Amino acid sequence: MLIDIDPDSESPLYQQLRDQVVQAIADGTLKPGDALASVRQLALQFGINSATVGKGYELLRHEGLVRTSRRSGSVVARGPAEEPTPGFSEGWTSRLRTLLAEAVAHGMTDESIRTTTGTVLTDFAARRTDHTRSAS
Amino acid sequence: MTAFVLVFGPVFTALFGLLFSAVVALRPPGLPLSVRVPQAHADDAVVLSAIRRFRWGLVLAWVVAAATTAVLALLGQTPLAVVLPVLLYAALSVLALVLSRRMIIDAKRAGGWFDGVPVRVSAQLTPPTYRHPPIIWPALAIIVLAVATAVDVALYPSLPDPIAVHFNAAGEANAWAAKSVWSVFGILIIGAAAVVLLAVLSVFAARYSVRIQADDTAQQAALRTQVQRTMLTSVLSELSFVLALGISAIELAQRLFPGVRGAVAGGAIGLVVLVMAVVIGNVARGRAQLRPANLRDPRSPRPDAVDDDEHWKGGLIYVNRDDPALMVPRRFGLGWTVNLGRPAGIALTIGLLLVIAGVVTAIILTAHSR
Repeated sequence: MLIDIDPDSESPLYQQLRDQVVQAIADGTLKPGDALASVRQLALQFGINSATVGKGYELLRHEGLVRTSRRSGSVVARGPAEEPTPGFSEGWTSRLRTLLAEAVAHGMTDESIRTTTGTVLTDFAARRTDHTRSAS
Repeated sequence: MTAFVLVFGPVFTALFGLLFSAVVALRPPGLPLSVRVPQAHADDAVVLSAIRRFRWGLVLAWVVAAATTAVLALLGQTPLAVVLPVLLYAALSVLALVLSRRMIIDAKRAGGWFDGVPVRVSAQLTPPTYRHPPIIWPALAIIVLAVATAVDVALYPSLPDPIAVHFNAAGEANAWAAKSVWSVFGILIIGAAAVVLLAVLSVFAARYSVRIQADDTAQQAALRTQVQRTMLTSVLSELSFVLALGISAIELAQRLFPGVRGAVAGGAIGLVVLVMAVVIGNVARGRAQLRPANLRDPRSPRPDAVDDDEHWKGGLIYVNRDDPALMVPRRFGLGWTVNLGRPAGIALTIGLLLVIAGVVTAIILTAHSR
């Protein structure tokens, strides 16, 4: 899969990298056990500092989405089929609260927030099914 | 003699022109003449006319080089008549590239082609898979060199001492050396070293580092990567065979038919033609294979690549302090170029230039000492 980084975005490069990996896991593009390019390989392809890529990978490791071993390099550590790790839900709820507050403060109706959430989730699920079908 | 001089330069530069022209067509849609343009302007009238102008520039450079060959040959300036037109052609074709790509750069700047266009830097997240380069060509190369060596070994006792080590194009010996392993087998030893070097380079080429064009889809990027790698690997490994074939042919011509007019010169021209045929053949095949990677689907648009022209001086030389890579894939042509924005890159380039200067000086000194 391709990672597209927007150099003009306000969001830092490592954050963009991390966000795209998370989305790829959610929509089934990446499955548990899938290998990822090494920090160095990715940095050389992007033409950016290894430290920046390393920071993105570090975030993913910290969240338990990626694990790195000396033998097999970095691999996807978990997927949608597994139970959330204990304590994940609490942290995520508080971040979601901020996101929902933004939407409400900017005048989005509860109805349109629910619709948008539903659309995104349906999209993830549909892509996951596509990936399972094309894999089998 | 004059026939060789008159033919060599024009043939060599014409083949080089063909290669240059084929390389232009290898480009991804967003990189005409090594200028970054957004997809919306990939087929802009300015772009197409700049490419036409570059091709005419190559033709003009060839005419100038061929005329120079003829004039110098008439004046009897033999070594100069071979070397100068080739150098002149190289300089003029680079000039043609620099001038014609400036047309695109100016139009891009004046028209604000990148204004408000979403751009991305892309990379393949899944780790690269590498294929081993084919072993067949280096193996055949070694077999051919082994046959030539066997013939030399068989002839060794009957070879004269001192032995002729250099011939003019008329096939007359003009330099001799004491009979020794080096003076008899020297060219074959150099050939074997070259075969090994090319085989090692082809292993690196099979692991050719690539930069993703952001406007490619994932499949197109994978295809582009694979074709570029195969192209480079095949050129290097097929060259090892062609080189062994040419060197063995020249060596055997020298040993079996000493004094035959034009045998060595014919071998040299044949070698040059074969080398160019290998390169041009592979580039042409790669170009055909790359066609699906250069199509753009307007229904599912991809973002454009970042305009990185400021780091590409003349479209050929790469200077970027912020890029950790020491070697980057060329934007024009095959293979890599050094990143001169890094101290190690500058050191590497100076080292290479010193080696080339050393080899050239050594050739000139040995030529004069004869």
